Amino acid sequence: MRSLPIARRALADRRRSLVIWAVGIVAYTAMILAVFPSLRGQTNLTDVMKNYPKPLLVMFGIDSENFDLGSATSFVNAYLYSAIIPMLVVVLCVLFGADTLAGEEDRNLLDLVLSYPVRRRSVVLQKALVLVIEAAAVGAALFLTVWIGGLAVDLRPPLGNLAGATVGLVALGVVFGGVALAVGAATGSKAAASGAAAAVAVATYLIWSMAKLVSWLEPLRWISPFWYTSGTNPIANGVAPRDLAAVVVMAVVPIAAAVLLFERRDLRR
Amino acid sequence: MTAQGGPAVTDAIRTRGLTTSYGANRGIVDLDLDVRSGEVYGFLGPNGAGKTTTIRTLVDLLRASAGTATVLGLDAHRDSVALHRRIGYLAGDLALYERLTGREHLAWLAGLRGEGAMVELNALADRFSAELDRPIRHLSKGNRQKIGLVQAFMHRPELVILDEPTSGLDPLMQEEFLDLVREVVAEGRTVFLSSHSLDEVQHVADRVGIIREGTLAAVESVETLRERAIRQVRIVFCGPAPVDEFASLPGVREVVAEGARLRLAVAGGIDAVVKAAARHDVVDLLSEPADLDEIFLTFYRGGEP
Repeated sequence: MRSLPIARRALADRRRSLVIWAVGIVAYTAMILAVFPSLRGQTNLTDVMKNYPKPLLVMFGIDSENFDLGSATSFVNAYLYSAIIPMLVVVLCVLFGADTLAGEEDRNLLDLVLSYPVRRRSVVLQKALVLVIEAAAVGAALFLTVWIGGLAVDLRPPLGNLAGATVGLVALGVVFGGVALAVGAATGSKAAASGAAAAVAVATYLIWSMAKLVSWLEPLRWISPFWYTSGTNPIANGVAPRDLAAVVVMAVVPIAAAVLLFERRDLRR
Repeated sequence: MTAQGGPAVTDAIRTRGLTTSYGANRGIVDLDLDVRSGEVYGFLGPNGAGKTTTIRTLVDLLRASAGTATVLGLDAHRDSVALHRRIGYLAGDLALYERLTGREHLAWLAGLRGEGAMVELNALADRFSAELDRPIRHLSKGNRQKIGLVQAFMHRPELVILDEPTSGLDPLMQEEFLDLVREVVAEGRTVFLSSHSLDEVQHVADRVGIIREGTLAAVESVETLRERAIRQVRIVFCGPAPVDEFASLPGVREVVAEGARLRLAVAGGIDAVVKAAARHDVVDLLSEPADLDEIFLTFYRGGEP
């Protein structure tokens, strides 16, 4: 008997859409990288951007103090790791987290699966495993594109920092995918799962980005996973192991909650 | 059936005071169910009576709020994994992974059970002429139902729990299904199946439990139910309907004539009616399925109209 049949099924069902997402993220990344050579050394453009209203830069996760578009680290951080790609990874993970449990329940598939000799917690954990694999696959595609594509345009961010930032990004996706999984496990509703997880993602993103502008938000920024993964230009400065650990814990909590909540649920039909 | 029951091993399913709330008024209340090993038990009730809620509680998809459910000697909730190894289940609204072929799907399901989980796959698939090599999304309702039946029986379970198993099957396949059920119980295994129609189960069930509004209204042998079942018979004669000849026949409860047409309410068998009709020129004869609500009501009228 081959092991983890639920995970293999979920992964096989997602293969096509995962490939499409990875291709999209790789294409976007390659496009951004292709622009870099024409920006290199253009300090005037950097100056123009520094004069943009601070709230605008903050919304896009750009640190206006230590910002230099011509530098490899600022460029990769600003255009890839601060806003757009994290949001794409979060959306991918939320869609999967909502569909794989609540979506299958909506489609009555879990009635069949759970009438077989499988533990409910095993079902949830195998789904969570696929969530991690999915986020990691996209992360790996992103890392390789920045690394190898970067060589082509002579853009060489420190690889250790790039790897750390990518792991942070993967963990970030798992946090919100985990929230979708947990809400789906508790309610059986795909709409509630994706809606709640998207709301939490937007709220914590705003808390993190606005904390730089709004002083009363600053003491709260620690509750935002974005603060740990994108807070300090991770491409330039690396991600502290402590911060990575914090995001991993934030990812484990909703998954554990999903296990407990699903265990005592009446399955809908 | 007896409230105190015999040794647990003789009961395939035994519930006591089983109560499950589900949705607004679709729960079950204080259900005492006894299904003996080796019998076919027909679980009958109108739609919304609580058949599916009962079945889903037995399979641990819903959790009872009170009472106990013991299946094959195991607690339906606490021992669910051990229990699920030994049962087969077919849901009333079967859903399958649409992209897989029937064969891929059945192999995957067998993988959830482990060794020997598809010993009868090929025999069953042949028997139902199940379409195994096309993606399930291209299959008709009947062909999906065949896949569902194969998965419920393919590992030779001791107990098969089936929710409206014949829905979508053509009459030929329904017959094939009933044959299979007879063979399974002949081997000493147990079949528990729900239906909203007595006619569907009367040729195969040993006993029938009637559920209505979440409570078990009656448990009877099929013979007893059949004797009490009232069916509508319509006969069209060549000439004027001979009303008088039918009014006094045994079992006839009601006769209405409109010219050549005769409408009868008949309790029990319609043998006497058919023989009486045969003495005349008959254009058409239609016997409608016994109405479950009617059967139920006759219980409370003591069988009198």
